[in-house]
Amino acid sequence: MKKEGLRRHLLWTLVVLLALGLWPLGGWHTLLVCRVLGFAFLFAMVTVAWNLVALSGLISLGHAAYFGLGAYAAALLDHYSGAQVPVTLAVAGLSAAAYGAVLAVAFQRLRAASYALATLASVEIPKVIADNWESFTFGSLGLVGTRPLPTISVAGFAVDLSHNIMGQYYFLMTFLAVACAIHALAIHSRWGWALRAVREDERAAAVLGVDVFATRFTATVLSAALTGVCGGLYAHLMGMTEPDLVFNLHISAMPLVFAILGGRFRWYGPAAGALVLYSVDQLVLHPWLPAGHAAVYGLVIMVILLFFPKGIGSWPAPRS
Amino acid sequence: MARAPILDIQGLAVKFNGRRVLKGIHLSVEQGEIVSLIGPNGAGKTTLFNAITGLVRPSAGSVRFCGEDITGWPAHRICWAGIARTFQIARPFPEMTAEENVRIGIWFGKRKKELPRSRNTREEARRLLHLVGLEGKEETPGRELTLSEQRRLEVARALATAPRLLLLDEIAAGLSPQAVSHAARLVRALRDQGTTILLIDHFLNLTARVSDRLLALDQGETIAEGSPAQVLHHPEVLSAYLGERHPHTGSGEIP
Ligand SMILES: Nc1ncnc2c1ncn2[C@@H]1O[C@H](COP(=O)(O)OP(=O)(O)O)[C@@H](O)[C@H]1O
Ligand SMILES: [Mg+2]
Repeated sequence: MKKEGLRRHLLWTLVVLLALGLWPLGGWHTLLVCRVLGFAFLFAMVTVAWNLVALSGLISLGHAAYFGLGAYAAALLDHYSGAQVPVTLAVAGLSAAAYGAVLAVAFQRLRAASYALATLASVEIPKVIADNWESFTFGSLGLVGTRPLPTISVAGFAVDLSHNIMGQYYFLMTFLAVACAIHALAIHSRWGWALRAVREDERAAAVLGVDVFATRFTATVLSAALTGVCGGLYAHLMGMTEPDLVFNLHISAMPLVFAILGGRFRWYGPAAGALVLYSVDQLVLHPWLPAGHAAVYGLVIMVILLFFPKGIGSWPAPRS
Repeated sequence: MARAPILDIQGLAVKFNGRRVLKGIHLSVEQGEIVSLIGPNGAGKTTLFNAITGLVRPSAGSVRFCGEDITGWPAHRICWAGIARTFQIARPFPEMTAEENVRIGIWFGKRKKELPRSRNTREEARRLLHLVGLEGKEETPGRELTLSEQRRLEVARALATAPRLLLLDEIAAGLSPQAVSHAARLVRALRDQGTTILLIDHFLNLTARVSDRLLALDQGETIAEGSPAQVLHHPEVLSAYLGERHPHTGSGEIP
């Protein structure tokens, strides 16, 4: 990357981070906006995670499987053992990662549409189990009363992450920052170059010494783990976990839309796409057009694709 | 000769959907040799390269490299062991610049711990691009290179992995006479630096000029083996080639 471009990138990143970090302190925010942005951070994290697999040249339509597994792992662990939130989140990530590892091995020969279809189908297995194992998962009713996020102590202050919406906002922002850091590595590290080579020409990559399977496996497992943690966070934020809610096709499709609109090949692209689109939909389209917001949302997506074919993330970058 | 061959192929067979494309090939190559594979289109030359480099799984037989049995190894490990190849139909990384294409070979061509810690990969990539005559194209994306430039990039990228055995698939097809001479000089220079070379040369552009030994394939079988003079005048080779539309005439684009 050129020096000039790098400086502009850093500048933009700083501006956005300062804006997101400082504006709630100005006092002219509303709690609603903070709450919505908190969820935007969560879904941005799912989008960033999804893009790790996309960077290896595979489009997944099954990230709801990891999200749902994470949500159920956290909710079940909370229900049956009363484990603390950091533990439930870790187990959420590990369960999803394990499923991701199994799928990465099982689907290693699949590409393009067959891979997309196979991942789409992979959501059904955990969903059917959650739906039908009533004695353990409470079936389609799901689990309720999952404990809210705990109160943590930050520099001597007690912050209740479930009622203090601002605290929640910064908490979720931190998770997104970690996901973005991993995503930046998936673009700019040695592993990032392996991903790029695999994506651009798998056979050429293989004969030049790139371990194609290991490269994709790492991406899939990391992606599944991050998505599983998001599912866990969701269970604690919502306090309930139902099969139809967390194994929902919408959760699989959303990162695809956000990442492609945000720009898949820049480290901030998927996150930017998710933050902008989710907030515009929730804060502008929903309140103004309760009935027709989905249509306008569709229109927004089409306009972005027309004017920014490489995603809105390509806008602040210098023209090449 | 007491020394073991660098490449030793025994009874190598490949099937595609039950069709036998290679029917038990034997070939052994000494360190520092230049061996040419010739034969009509569809003879199985490229498939032999694919089987050696781990892109195609043989149905029978073995490949030994430097005394080690590498049959069935994944492609990247075969590269790490020291075998590099070019593709007959070039496969550049389309969105990477020519220089980045070559740097992939430098970065990944050897196991991570075998790579020198601090080395100027950029300088090295540029030297290799210069060697194949791609100076000035360093910043051009792979997809924007012409077909002949893409084929030269294949060679630079293969060399970037620092191979002991280099497999070149039709690098001289469709080249001008000057370009063929340049390729012949390059092949000899690489051999003089210690690289062993196996080259496919359907159009017989390079063979007579550089090879020590020839192997002629037809329909997945070896029909002749020996010195260039012996093989090129072998009756079976002549008839295999004459059965084709364009025989010995120098150039022609790959199909
Ligand atoms: N991946 C493949 N699947 C099915 N058939 C193949 C494949 N690759 C090569 N073949 C067949 O194997 C035969 C030998 O092909 P190839 O090795 O490319 O010949 P050559 O390089 O000598 O022209 C051809 O008949 C070709 O159609
Ligand atoms: Mg061929």
